[in-house]
Amino acid sequence: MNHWVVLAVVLPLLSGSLLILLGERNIVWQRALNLLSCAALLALSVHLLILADSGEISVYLLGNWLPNIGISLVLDRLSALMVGLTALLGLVGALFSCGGSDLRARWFHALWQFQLMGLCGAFLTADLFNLFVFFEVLLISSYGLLLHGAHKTQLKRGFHYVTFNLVGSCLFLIAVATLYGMLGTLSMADLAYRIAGTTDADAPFVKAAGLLLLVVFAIKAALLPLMGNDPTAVERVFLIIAAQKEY
Amino acid sequence: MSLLFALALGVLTSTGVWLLLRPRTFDVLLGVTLLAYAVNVYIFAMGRLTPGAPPIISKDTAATLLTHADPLPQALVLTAIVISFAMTALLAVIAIRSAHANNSEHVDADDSELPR
Repeated sequence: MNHWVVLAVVLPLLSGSLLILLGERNIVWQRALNLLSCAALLALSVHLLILADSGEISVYLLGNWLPNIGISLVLDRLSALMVGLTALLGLVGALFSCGGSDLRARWFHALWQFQLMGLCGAFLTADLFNLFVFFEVLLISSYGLLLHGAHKTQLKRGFHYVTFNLVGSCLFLIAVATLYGMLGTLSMADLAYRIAGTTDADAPFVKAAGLLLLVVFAIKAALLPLMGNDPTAVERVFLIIAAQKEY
Repeated sequence: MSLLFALALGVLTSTGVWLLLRPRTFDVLLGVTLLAYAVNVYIFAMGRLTPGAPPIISKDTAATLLTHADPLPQALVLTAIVISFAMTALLAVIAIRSAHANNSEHVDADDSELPR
């Protein structure tokens, strides 16, 4: 078992927690720690890319539970590439924020790290429900970043954004529960295997759940509502939204 | 029991959606809460309804789903409840601050009239 895989989730979690402990007064230390952690994540993702480049799929079993019972992280070429892209965008975004835009938000750097944690986890996880949890981690950090300063219009747009995403999460859970009820598993590898063996009677439910997932990912990637997105809200968190669009 | 379950789910979902479409922020908040409840109940139901069966394996009975309730959806529901509760709390804070900052309980925070 390769322990480097889980570090992509643990590293931003640790540095985010450290940033909270550091307090919000010393901006120089905060910037330094954020940049350092982003750079370390980038180095780690390069290492993961080299690991995955051989074509080998490494599975990390959290808590060493059996693959069908516990939650696992999977590193293949796609997830390694996505983690690499996230780390690169994270570093560039953090560098940009040091130009002064981080001063407008309290806890900007901590929220930035937690968002990176959610993104890396979402790309690496091999479990549908775990994907939901990591989505919520990255979304709740994005709410914090979106609402910083709590300006009048921000609160209004923020209310729309959060409500829309909450409904999206409800749809996500409906799709996940339907898939579990029909197929009896939430592990993505198992799902792919069992979907092939669905009976004609079950097929419409599985299809509906799959299409519902498509809608949910479109919501989370700010693809829906088509042309109805609020440019002012998107503008403020352009990097975050850009990062989410990787889905 | 299945009928009762399905009816409760339907009532929760439909009231949730109706409230969600109202123009007052408080109604939207309640709507999201009811919708989250409905989803939690739905996840629970997807583990099949098995009355009187424990979710934890004991030594006396065979460890099959015929004699036990499926524990996994119950664990999922627990996580989903925590997340939706936290998100609802956040939404409540945003709604309160928005009402103070904009002097309006309307979701668009403008002066348009709220229905009674």
